[in-house]
Amino acid sequence: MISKKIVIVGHFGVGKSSLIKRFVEDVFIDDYKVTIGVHILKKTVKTSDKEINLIIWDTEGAESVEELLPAYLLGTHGFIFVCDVTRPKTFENLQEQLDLLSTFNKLAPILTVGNKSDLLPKGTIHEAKEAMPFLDVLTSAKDGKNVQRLFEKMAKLIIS
Amino acid sequence: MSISKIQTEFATQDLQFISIHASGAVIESDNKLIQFKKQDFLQQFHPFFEIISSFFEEGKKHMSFKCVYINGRIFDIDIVDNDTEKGVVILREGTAFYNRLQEIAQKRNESLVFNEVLEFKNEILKEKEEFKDRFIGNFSHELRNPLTLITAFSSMLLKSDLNVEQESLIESIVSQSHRIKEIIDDIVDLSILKRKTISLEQKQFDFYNLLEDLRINHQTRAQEKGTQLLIQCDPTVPKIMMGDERRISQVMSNLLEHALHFSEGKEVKLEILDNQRRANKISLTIQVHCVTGIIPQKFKNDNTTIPKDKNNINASNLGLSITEELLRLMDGSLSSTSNEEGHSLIQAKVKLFVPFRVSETPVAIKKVRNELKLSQKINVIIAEDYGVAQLTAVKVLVSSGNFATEVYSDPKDLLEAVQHKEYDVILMASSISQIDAIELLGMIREFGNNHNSKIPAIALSTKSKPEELKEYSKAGFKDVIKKPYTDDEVLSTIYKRLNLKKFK
Repeated sequence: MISKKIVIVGHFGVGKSSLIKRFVEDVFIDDYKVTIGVHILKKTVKTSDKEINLIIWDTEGAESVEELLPAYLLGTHGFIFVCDVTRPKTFENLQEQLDLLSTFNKLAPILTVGNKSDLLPKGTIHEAKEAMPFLDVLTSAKDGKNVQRLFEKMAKLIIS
Repeated sequence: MSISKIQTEFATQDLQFISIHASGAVIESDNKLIQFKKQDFLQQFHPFFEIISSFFEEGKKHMSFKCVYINGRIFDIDIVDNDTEKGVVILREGTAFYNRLQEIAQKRNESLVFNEVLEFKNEILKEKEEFKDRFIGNFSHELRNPLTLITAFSSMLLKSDLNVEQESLIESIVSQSHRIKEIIDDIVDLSILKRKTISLEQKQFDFYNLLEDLRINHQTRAQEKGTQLLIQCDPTVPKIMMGDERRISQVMSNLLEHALHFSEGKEVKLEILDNQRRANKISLTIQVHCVTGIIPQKFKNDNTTIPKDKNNINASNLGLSITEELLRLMDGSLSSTSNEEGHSLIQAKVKLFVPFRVSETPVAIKKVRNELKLSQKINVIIAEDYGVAQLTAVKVLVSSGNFATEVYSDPKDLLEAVQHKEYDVILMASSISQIDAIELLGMIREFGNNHNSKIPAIALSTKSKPEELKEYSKAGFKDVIKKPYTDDEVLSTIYKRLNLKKFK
């Protein structure tokens, strides 16, 4: 079985660890616990005809990807940039951040995610998506919305 | 033990060296921190070690990974290329250190995230407030024009020859349109009060006159409902006091309105009690007894058993909300109690000042009789682009027989007219074809002929906020007639601003 490394990046408190926990263990813990350094988890996903081991690197929250230790990015196959839809600061200068990520690995696909969609007022998800066209997926680690889809999408992008 | 041996032991205390093959298989390990057997694959122990294949594939010589979580412990990990297809993994335990660091980061980030979220929530609230204000402004504007027509025309109809039944029907229309106007004013007032953007006046006023006006204003409504209205005031309450007369009157009026609404033919009593006086400050309790008053939950202080009847939650509760906000501004409070029989008592506590020296009472301005008949017509420009409002103004003026009117809905035509003809007065709506009245008046003063640059301008406005009304006055409008208006209000205002001898 092939293994592919995905690095999750973004500001602190955007829910990177919660997204991974929801995806790998299907649980959500409401308490915010700051990640320092890096946590690595693994989960197998099935795409149409293949099984892939996703090795997911959950990095420490940082205001800029420049703050990431370059060693963490060794052998990365895909990036997920996570924002918090309720904190505009977490998606300021997004394009600049994505460009920086591309310099580490030009071939690695990047998905941008707006997490905490459960905090948006009811019935405004569609509007929020339109207001934030730079986001690929809106997710909620809390209720699990689009989390599975996000990682499956990334797996497909990596093997395609 | 030799120093070099001690040095070696302490220097390597938290370290583990693992010799590996490029495949990740263990060749040799000192097992100081984690137990591995020969030929174990590190990748199977933890997914972090999947990095080994990338390390060798990319021909790296040495890489350091700080703060890596491995099965509940935290390590700094180095991978060193030792030989072709062989390397060494060095683990340095840092669990205690990094856990301490985590606590510090936790505190810092929690506070930063909290502030950012708070900032965002404030932004949303601000946007909502702005939307609400815009909505109330538009809603008020849209309702005032048609309401002006109803109010003015029904007032005109009342002066014509009607039979008893017709008169009673028109009176009902007048009364209800007046009520709608009050509700619109209340909604606008409440939105202003919630933002605390009004300031209170501190002027001397005759409190007993105010009570008398209140009695006259509510007597008719009480009679209509078959209710006996009583107003009692402690004899120690001073006649002249200092405060915002209009707002105090509004507080008492709202309390009475609420009580009358639920009176069901029973007695309604408004009492003013003198609580205490210190120096020139006086504390009053204004209380209204109401037989079957439904008190909105937010004003209740007791555990009353009166059911909350949703059908009865209406405009009078809006009045109570305004009263509460007004009292808050006046450093007062609103409370209520009720019993099982449905008798309720609503109390407003308010602080006022008693002046050390009473100033002279202003002379009442004589009202101009609107039945006035002039031999020469007053030439009026009506600048208004809203059909219903044009019709209302024209009808009101023409039916008095004293006016020649010209209506303009295009600012260009209006400016041309004021250049070439002479008029006596201008009536102008808040805006005409997107041009604000204040701006337009400036243009009339600038481009109009000498005569027209001096004639009085009166605004017919749907705006009602005090700051907006001040703007009109600053711009040179002599008066502002708030929509909806009655025929009498328009005629009195115009007559007041003209030298009528010229037209007699």
